Amino acid sequence: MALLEAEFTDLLNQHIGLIYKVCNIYCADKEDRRDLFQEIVLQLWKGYAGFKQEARFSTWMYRVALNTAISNYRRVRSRPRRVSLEDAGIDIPDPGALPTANESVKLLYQAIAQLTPVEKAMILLHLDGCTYQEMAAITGISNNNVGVKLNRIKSKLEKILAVYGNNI
Amino acid sequence: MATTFEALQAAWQTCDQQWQTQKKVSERLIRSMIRERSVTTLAAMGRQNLLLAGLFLLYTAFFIACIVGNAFDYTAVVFFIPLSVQAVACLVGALLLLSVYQRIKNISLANESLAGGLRQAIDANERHLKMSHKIWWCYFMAGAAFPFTCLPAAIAKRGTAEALGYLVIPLVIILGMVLLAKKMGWFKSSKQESLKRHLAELESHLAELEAA
Repeated sequence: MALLEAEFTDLLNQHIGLIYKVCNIYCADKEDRRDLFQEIVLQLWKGYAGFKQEARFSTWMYRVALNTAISNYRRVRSRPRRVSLEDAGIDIPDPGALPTANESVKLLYQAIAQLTPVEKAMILLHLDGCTYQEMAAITGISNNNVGVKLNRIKSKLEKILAVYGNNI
Repeated sequence: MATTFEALQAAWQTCDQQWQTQKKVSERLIRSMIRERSVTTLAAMGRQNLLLAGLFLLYTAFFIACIVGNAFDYTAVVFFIPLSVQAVACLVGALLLLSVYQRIKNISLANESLAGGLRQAIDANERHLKMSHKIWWCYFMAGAAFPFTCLPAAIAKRGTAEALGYLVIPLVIILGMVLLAKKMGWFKSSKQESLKRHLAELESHLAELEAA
């Protein structure tokens, strides 16, 4: 148990940024972000015993995190008891609070907030540099469809960005 | 400021490393998360049991009132049997639920006894599921026998053929519908399904804890 836990924690921490990004993209509210963070970690832990090394850990992690974020978004549910992340010293900062963040990044996050949950998932994977094959494996969409969908999402995002650009 | 997608993508990459340097998760924190989630699941199970126990106690009071007030004008003690069986089934069901609630309430999910606590909760609820199935059948059979207790009075008032028509034919139709519904799986109550989901969740937590 302890060995499994240590191995899981180590792998999780290697890709912890991924969870922070998913939380920020799917939740505007700080409390919601904390809830989603815990939900994703729990779901990852629950699934870790059955995780086969067939896929890369980061690919599997994207799939679980995005599935959790999307189903959490769709479901209205009572909040279960949570560990206080503040007490554990964990904070999920706004993207704008990151030292290297500039206005462009804040703008990008604002524009992404206008997308649907599935579109958010696709654009996050694209921005994180996933290949079409990886995106297909994570989202369950065929390789060909990934390109088509992504182009549509990018043009939608550019339209939103243009509106924001005009308002600045 | 850049607003084209490509320029923003480059800005996104510059931020990427910053996310990775945020505070890491510890093993202790993960353990705490599992414990808190288990506490929530147990609390939900407890609330559900308490509500159901209250409902069964109400049914018990209703059947007792029918017996004490002789609501159906029975002339022989034997006719009281179906109502009595239903009252007893409801009472036993309520007591069973209350005992499960009490057992769950007394379970401590402190770190060192998490697996043990979850095992106790699973055992208590599984036993309850088995018992509740038996109680439900007693209740159902007594309910099916109930119309026959009104038969002698109906025969005296309307004659044999009409009385049988009034009581037996609807009973046969209802029994047929019940059997059909059972075959179609419509008796799977949402409460029982949700209890089973809760149990499955607890079992998955337990499996995680027991995995070597």
